[in-house]
Amino acid sequence: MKKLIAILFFPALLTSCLQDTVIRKVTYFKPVYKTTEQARADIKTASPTALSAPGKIFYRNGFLFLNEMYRGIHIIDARNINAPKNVAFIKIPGSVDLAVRGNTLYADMYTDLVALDISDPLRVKPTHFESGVFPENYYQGFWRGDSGKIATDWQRVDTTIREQDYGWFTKEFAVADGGFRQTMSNSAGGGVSNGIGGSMARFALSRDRLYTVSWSDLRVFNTAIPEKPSYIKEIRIQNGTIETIFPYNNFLFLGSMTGMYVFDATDKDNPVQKSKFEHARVCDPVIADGNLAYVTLRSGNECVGFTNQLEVVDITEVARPKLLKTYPMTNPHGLAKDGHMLLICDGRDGLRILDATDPNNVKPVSVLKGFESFDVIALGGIAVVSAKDGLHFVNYINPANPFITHSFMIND
Amino acid sequence: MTKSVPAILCLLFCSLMGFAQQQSFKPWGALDAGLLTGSSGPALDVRLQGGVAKKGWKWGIGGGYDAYRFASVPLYAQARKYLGTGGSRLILLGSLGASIPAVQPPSQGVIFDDIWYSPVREQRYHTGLYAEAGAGVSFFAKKKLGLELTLLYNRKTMKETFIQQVYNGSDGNEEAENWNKYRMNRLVLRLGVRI
Repeated sequence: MKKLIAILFFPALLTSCLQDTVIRKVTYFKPVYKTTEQARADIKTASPTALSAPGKIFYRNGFLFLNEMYRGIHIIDARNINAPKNVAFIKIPGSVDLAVRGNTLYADMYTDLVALDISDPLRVKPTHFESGVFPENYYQGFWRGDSGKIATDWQRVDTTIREQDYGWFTKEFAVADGGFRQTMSNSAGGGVSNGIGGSMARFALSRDRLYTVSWSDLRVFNTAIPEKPSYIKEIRIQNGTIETIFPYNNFLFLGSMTGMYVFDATDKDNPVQKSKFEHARVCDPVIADGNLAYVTLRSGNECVGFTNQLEVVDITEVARPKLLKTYPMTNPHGLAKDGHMLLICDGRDGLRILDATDPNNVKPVSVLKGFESFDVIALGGIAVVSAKDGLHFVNYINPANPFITHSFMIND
Repeated sequence: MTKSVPAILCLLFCSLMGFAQQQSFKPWGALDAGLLTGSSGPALDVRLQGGVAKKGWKWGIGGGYDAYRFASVPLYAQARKYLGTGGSRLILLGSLGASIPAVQPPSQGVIFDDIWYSPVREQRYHTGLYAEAGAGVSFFAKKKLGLELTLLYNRKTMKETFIQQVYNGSDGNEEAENWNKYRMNRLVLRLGVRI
């Protein structure tokens, strides 16, 4: 009988064999590091590459500068707007934002601001690095860079691992929504003209100053000598949640998740907050034109909230902005205005064109569907639309019947 | 596939019975229920098996429902050896077959056992292996009816496939076709009724 009991309970002794196990095929991206000096030395015009993750766009003198998120900037020759050509790529690791003043392009390179001479867009060269001015970019995509080195590329790794299956395991490195943030500004000054950008910018040029925003800061750079920008100061914004900046006249309109801030930049080195127009907690790019500001509010993903609409705000009295009217939208992102026409990137609905002649009665004119749009700049009859699937050039000379004239598709 | 298991079992069982009658084998059947314990906690299973017997050996096929972690329908072939004589006999047995997922995840879901809350799509469970070996005793055995208590080491496997969004370190997500191969090792205490 003892033998029988021993046989019956022998498997119970093998407790380690009773653990569930799992072999996982996992995918992750591993950073490829270079020293800062090596990465800076690599900044030069290179052969054009396919779009992968198009970001913010800037237009200057017939050339479009399109950010490739965290990798660099595509140069698109749009002198013939009906037949644009992808002509070059500038490798700038960690780059998300950009702005152009005269022949100088400003971009972020992780924590640094880099100024590039683009007088010959096909032979771009850096002229100045302003180090450590964007400290919030030290942490990038959950990775902490090795001190003295920066991530210049990311290598995909597919591998398998075997583990005891306790249910807790770092399989990938995040589930970001992959949403785009576009940019631009449009304000000239100091005898050197500035380029045209989109409404989702975090860099804005006004007169001879470059203003940048981070989550809770407004920073001022002197660009009087365009090729050698210098950091002036940082203005802390309480409860900021800042996302975008748009310069108009001597004012700076900052879109945040809780409202629109208006800063008076008459004293260009010391912008002063004049007002805050509050709204529900959502994302809100903003543009201004005349006595009106146009704010798109969208919900979803990092934007939380439940509001998707266009708000028209009377800014006749900048210190006391007043809501004129709201218009329901699907999931509006960037916007641009050309005369009375308002062009709105309405997420999956594509590009929405509205007649804003009467701000109290903004009328729908047309919707161009077929792509998920994020930001737009209007170039007098041609809209350059950054979308999830690529970059589209949309002819809206007849606003009632817009059509795509050219596209640069992702990985094409 | 899961819905057709009873039909397949009936067909095989009838074939075995027919074979038994022609070849002078004795038919047998057993219904059992088990308590499965492993690192994912306790669970129950129920199984029905039957086949032919001769000279202390029993061969058969079986199927049932296994509620451990990923519910499944095991479909297997089984061999038993009875040692000794009388009403209480020692049993050695083993089974080998397939573990068919009884349920499928929603077409779009989340891999929960992940430090990141990963949304996935086209998530599927696939048929895996089902195997066990162990020993037991039969008691209260009458000529046709009897009880059997067995203790077995049991393993079922399952492959889960899915398409996943993986953060690419810089500008967003990329899709990856990934999989998990689960191996579930359990100790099973099973009480059966010989019929």
